[in-house]
Amino acid sequence: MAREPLKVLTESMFYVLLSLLRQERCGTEIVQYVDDATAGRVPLGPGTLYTILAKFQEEGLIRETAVEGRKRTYAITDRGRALFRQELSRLRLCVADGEREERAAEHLLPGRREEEPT
Amino acid sequence: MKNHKRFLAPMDLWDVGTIEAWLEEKAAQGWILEKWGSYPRFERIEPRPCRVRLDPQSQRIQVEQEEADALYRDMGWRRACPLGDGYLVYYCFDPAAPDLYTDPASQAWAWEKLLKRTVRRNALALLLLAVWTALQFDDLFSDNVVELFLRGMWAVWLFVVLFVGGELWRLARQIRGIRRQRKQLEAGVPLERGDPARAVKRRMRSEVIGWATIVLLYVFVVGLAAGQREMPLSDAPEPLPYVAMEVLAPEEAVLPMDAAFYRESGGLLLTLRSVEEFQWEGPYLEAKMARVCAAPLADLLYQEWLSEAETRLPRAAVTVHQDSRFDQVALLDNGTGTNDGRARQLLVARQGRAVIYQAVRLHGDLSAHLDDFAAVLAEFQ
Repeated sequence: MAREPLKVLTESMFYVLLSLLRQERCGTEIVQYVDDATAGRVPLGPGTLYTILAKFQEEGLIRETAVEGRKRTYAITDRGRALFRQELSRLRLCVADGEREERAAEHLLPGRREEEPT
Repeated sequence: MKNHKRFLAPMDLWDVGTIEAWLEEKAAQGWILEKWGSYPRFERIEPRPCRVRLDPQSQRIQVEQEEADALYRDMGWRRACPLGDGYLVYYCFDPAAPDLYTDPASQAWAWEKLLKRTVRRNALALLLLAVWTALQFDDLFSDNVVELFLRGMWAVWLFVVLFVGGELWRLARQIRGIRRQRKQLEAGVPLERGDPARAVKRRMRSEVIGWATIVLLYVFVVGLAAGQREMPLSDAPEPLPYVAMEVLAPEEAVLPMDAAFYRESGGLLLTLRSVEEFQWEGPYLEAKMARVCAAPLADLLYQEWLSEAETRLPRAAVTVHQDSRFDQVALLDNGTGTNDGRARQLLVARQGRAVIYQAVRLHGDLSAHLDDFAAVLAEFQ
């Protein structure tokens, strides 16, 4: 059975790609970056990080750029950037849809109250 | 006070959540895993709550693993030891540290690799199991399958069927368990945690059944060996399980024989007695008498011995007698086609649960002694 490429990213995957957009980073730096960027909202466990890094390498979304002793540094590839942009667009659409529906719901709210039996 | 102790572990290695819960319980009691095995070895620590996680082993090279371990350590996770060849065990005593896996969907990838590895290994195990099973049932295609079955192969085959059934069930359960957990993780549901006490009880039950089977098999094999006797024919216990040469050809019975012995073997389904006495190039007598636990099985043995007799004397005239003293009786006569003038004859008969097979090369005629054969069969009912 052919392997299905990644289409949708989870929050952890999204932030790992995000952490590599501007510069190359090693595992510890990625964890630190995600923690800072999300103010601790998105915890990134070490098992999750290494599984994501291994999968992203397999998928060609990131590549290893340097190995210094135990420290391995990763950089995002063009394919990784493309997937990141695609995910960002998807999230924008989600947010836009959500906001539109929320506005519509707020607009409806008084009318619905009127319909409620007294 | 002992600083090391062994405990009986839960049985299913794929049931990761339950094993994690069990290891956490042990840590709260003051025991940390030192070495995994059938009875894992634990080291005494200060009792304290902690989190335990099983990380499916990936194909990381040593440098990658060292880097991962360093980061795991920095984030509060300490590696204890490998668990089987599928997982690494990590302990975390810092309640503020993030979990080892914070994203079930990505955790599912690690499980996917574990599943593929398990399926590959189980396929190989199935292949070996199939070859082993086929070898065990090889005797099914032999000419004396009924006799082999009755003599004790029934126990071996029963053991093989139970063992193979148990193994198939275990392999299927393992693959189903890993697949179910991977699906749950893919759907964003964290690993389920079963009741560790129940899992240990299940393991204990399985151990008891396993050991009881081994003991039973041992007792059976020892019983079979103890039930076997061999002695000179002159020492054979009465009643004798055949019609003796003295009765069939008295003038030949007085000749000194080159060999004359008696054998006996007992089992749950069959008691088999056999006799052989002969002189090289002279008189010859071979007999076997079986007392079987049930008449239908005796019937099957009769058919098999008759077919064996027909193979042994392919050109013999076969006479099937209708005789009320026997359930079945057949005589194979090869005539006296040799220089010594002795007749080669073979008689196979059954009465109830007793079956007799007697082959002779004598100056005599077996058909004249059907009364004697009926009497022998009657004695062994």
